[in-house]
Amino acid sequence: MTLLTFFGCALTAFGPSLALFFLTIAKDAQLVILMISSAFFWLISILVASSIWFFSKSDATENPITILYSVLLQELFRWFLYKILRRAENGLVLASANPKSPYNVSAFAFASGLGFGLMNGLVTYINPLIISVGSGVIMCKSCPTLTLFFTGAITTCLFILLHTTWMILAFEGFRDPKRNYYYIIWVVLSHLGASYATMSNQADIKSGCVIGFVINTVLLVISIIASMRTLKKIK
Amino acid sequence: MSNNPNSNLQDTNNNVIETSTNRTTGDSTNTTEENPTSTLGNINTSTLELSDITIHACSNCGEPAQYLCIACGQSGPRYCSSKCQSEDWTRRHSTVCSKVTLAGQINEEGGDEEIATVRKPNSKVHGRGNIAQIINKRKTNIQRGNPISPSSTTDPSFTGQEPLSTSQFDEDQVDEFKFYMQQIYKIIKPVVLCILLSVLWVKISILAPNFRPQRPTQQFIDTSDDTSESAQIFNSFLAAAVIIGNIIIVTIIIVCLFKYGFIKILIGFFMVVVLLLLGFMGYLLILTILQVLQIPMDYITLSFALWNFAAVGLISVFWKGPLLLQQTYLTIMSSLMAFSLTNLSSWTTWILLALLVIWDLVAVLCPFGPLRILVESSRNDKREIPALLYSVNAVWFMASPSLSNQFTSSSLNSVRQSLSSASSFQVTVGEEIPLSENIRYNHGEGGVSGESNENLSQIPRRQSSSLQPRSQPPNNDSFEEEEEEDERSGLKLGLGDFVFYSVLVAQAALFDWITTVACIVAVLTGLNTTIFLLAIYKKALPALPISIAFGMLFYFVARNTLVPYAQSLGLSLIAV
Repeated sequence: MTLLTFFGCALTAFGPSLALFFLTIAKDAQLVILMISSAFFWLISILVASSIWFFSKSDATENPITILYSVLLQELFRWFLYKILRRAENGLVLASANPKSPYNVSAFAFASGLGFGLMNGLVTYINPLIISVGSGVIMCKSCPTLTLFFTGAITTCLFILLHTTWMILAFEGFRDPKRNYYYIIWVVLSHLGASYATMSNQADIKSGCVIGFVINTVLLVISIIASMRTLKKIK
Repeated sequence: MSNNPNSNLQDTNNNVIETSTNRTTGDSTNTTEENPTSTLGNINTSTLELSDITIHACSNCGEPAQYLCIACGQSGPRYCSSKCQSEDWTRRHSTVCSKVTLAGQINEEGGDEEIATVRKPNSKVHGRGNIAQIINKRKTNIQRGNPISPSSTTDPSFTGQEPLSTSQFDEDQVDEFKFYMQQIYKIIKPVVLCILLSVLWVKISILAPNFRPQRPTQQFIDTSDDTSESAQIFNSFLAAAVIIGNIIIVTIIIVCLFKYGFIKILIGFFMVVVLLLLGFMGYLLILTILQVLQIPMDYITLSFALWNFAAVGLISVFWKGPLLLQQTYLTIMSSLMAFSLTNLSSWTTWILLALLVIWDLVAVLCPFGPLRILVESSRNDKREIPALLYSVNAVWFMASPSLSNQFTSSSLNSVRQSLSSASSFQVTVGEEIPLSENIRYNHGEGGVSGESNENLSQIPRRQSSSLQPRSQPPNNDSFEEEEEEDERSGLKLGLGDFVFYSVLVAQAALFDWITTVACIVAVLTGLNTTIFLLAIYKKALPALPISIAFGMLFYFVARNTLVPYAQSLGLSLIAV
């Protein structure tokens, strides 16, 4: 399926997030640095998760457990990242392009979320993407008409955006855990839900990948609306 | 980074004391409040009018005094000079001053509005440069565990909860932060480009059928053989040691050459090196690319193209050329160098990198490290170290002689970063603030005083792997005068660091894409961390150790656990 598939899948998976990156983050040095740092944090979380996976010698039947601790570790490192950003926040706000803006913290959350998401997308999807240059094709098990590459591309695209909104919501929750605890709960639950929904891709359910897409899209829409509400609350 | 120990000037309370006589407390506060960006009201501090003040005795020394504490006003103590005021402040007055107690109450109450009124004028106050204020800031910083968050004005939703324990920042620091951020950003771009180019070369050369004698797969098979494993590790160690030895010897020779003034020999040597690198490594690379992509090309065309490529590179790097061209050539040269080093076996590469980290630490930080000696001798003799300059916006840098020894891997190139943002900042500082003495004082407190910095910044530091902080003298005049010599370069990253970052990532690219991505992020984070440390410690730091340590750690963990993990999840199309 060669280069055509490659570019199609690459742009499907990373197009929206790269557009977001170049339109909003790339021109601001601070946000770029934040993004790299958050990517680093995500990488640590996934390295820890993969170490657990490696030493527990899990196989495919234990995927639900693998997903559970992978997601929880990511959320844990999201919290670590928040803690560190919180410590540096004074400086970050003052050194930002517009220190008076009330949206600075949201911008930091957005940049960190995009870093999380992009790193997630890269690590989980880069190998299928590279394989897609070759001549072979792997079909998706639940949707035999779709290739594995394209299914993965859509999932990756949704997950990057989901991570971005999750970061905004989680920051809102972490900032005031007593009042906004439901944001944290929503982030953890929807993250788990979105990950479990992707299990339907290779399950024996008929058109299971569509189920996964629909669930992820619904979660994404709800998260976007919620994060827009948090932005509206800032005066 | 937020805990910069040298310049933790507190600005919460700096309108507490003011040595102003011709205005009352309320006046001054109002002026600054209504007009926080204007500094006009503050200029009068240096030109005092003393007419309508009754002469009192100085609370500190007893001499006739005209100055009074701005917070306490007429009821407070009098001072003859700001020196007396500061002495008295540290000794006695700070505990009783009405503003301090007031501010303390406000802080305890946590009322946002009041905090805002106290804070607003602060952003400019340090410009008034009253020493007492600085001490005051210090003291309040120590005294009060709960400094008012500066974000209280920007985002009120933050203050309600926990008081921030981080130190606060005055304007200098903020500008410094911004400056360092810009520097990181500017340095990241060429580094990423160089790394990506090296990855590209590696990925292309893997496809070549017969290019590489030691393909990673063969390497893998060899190491799995038990009998030869230890011998092979020993051999790799030997090879790496030989390379490191070469690097050390050449570095020492260069230091000696520089110290005894054989600059022209150095430049000639580096021209040969650059020519060889561009010509020979370029030839090998183009050959591989042609082979892989199966492009037919005759030798005449190839040699003609290569000749032009190398000659243009030589001219633009050592003499002059468009800025973009120079930058491109420097990046390409680094990636070519990294590419040539990927020919080593993977064990050799890892041992080499580990040894380089140690060498880097020794050479930059040790009192007798050759690179340190080099920098110091150039500082003492006021001579420029010839260096290949990676400049972002100033072409005149190229007038100074340049050199590089990337081929021996302790490359001496500097990345020159523009200081355009910082220079404009300095100019505005000069205009806005009349008392530059005090600012210089602030700078001195911050560890990078204007004077010492002038000396420092004339030395284009050329170190294989050191980052060097630069900032400018705050004086507007010196800014104009020394425009030629005092290059406003911020951070300098040796091209050797470019090379070895790329070597690391290229080595990771030989294995898998996931390790490649992990190593890129690790290296960039290491670079960021180093620059933040640089902002804190303000001295030359080796740039390799943190990045290489992160990169190697991430490579081995990712290779052993993350790659199979991602494969297993990727096959079942599960995203986590």
